[in-house]
Amino acid sequence: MLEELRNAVISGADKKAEEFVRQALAEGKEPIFLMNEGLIPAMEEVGERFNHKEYFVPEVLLSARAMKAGLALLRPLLTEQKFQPVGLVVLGTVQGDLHDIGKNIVGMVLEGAGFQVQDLGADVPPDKFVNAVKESGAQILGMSALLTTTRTVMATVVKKLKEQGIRPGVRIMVGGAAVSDDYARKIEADAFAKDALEAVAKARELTVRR
Amino acid sequence: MKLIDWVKSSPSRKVIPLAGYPGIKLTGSSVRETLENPELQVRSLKVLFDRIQPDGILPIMDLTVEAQALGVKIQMPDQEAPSVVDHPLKSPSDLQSLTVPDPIKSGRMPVYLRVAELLKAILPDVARGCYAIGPFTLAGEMVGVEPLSFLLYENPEFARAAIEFSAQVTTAYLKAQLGSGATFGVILEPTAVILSPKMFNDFCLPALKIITQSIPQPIVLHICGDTEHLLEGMKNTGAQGLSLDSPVDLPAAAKKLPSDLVLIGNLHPVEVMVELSQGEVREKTRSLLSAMSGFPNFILSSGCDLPPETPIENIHALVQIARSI
Repeated sequence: MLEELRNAVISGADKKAEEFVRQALAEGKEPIFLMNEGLIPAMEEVGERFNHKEYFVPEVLLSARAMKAGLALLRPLLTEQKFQPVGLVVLGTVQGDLHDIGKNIVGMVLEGAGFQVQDLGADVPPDKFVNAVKESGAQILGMSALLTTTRTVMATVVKKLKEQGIRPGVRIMVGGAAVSDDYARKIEADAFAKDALEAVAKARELTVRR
Repeated sequence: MKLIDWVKSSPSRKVIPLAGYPGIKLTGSSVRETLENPELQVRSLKVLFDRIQPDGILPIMDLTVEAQALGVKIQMPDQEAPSVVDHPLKSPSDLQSLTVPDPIKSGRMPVYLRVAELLKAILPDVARGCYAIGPFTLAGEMVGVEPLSFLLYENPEFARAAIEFSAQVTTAYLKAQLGSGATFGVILEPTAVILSPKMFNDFCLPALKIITQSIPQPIVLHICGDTEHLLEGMKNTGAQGLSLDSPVDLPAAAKKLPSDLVLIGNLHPVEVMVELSQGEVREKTRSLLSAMSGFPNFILSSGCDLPPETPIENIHALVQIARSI
């Protein structure tokens, strides 16, 4: 059953993934068990295949959708059982920038790795990021920018977080075609991730380091 | 003339940076005006051309012209590149209600036809490019990239039909610009970078082949990002030139690709061209030129379109170094 669930996610079969989760729950399997032994390792395998250039973006999207279909059934139960997510991530594409596919993949892959994700969408103004971090108490803020004209918004957000005294409580990750390791350092973000898989690895690292 | 023959026609390296936006600040116009008014656009292109003296000229890159001509809603901020905000193509029946737009009267296509005319008038002896987005990228704008990704697996017939329709749009728009005075076409196919080699070969390659086969002038294919996995497929499109972005190891690609296929690239538009000093740009350019010295089939350029804030002196430095070697 577990292997079938993993295979359904890996092959991107969302209906099957949903059905296997439903069946497993009916058989009395623990939601946490299905998350930790089913969905998370399946998405790790997807990540491996992406790293080895066996999977590309469409295949990752299919798998992420299947993972989400299973997760949708587990989530209310996990909340009930006070399952602790690995961490809470506030995520968004910065103001002026409508590119959201990379950001969406990052969000889904983070969820697949056990993070809770609050996705603010695209074209997000600085104050919305700041308020979301403040209100949610997120451990990580992830921002995406695909344009050099919009990446400056990231610096504005960092500045505002500092001004309001909440910068020390949150780790900042940036990504997107317009940013780099150097740029992340320049605006005093904590990490740059070049793709969704790196985003997961760095998010884990930043959560552990706290 | 074939692109390779033009490249070999002079002893020095040809250099054509993908530079349109940096010229806008030289005229004091807004981005929006420059994309809507052909006279303003050409004025800004000419000012930039005079400052940097490259071997060819390209219009200002705009990835929304085709979708807008098809009736898709776009957003045009004053000082930023426009973007598509709606993805209306949901079903095969939506596709049936679409017709290939007539470039003479659809959306801002006439702006770019006029740009091609004006550039020919003022720079008759210079290589003059024109842009159109590729069939996969246009299909992605029409359908949405995520839904299109799913369709590749779940409704390949519809995906293929959307891509083939888009190829007709690309063809018509390129032909019209070439007929108005451009001397070569550049297909911008950024979204294709997400595809596996297999998916590229199944869905993109046939559509790109149709375009290159129906256009006599040289076609360059540009795909942003790391395209090493797609080089084989890109080679087979019939494009006479491949414009490769900065993540690609250009000398390694040149070793693998035929010597009559022109490679264009690939200094990093941001990390090198925006962020480094003039001296450092010179150094990076020299080292790229030296790595490519054994390959005559090469045009020096930036890996991707240069952002508006790129210092003009950095673009000038790139051109100067190509001339001095």
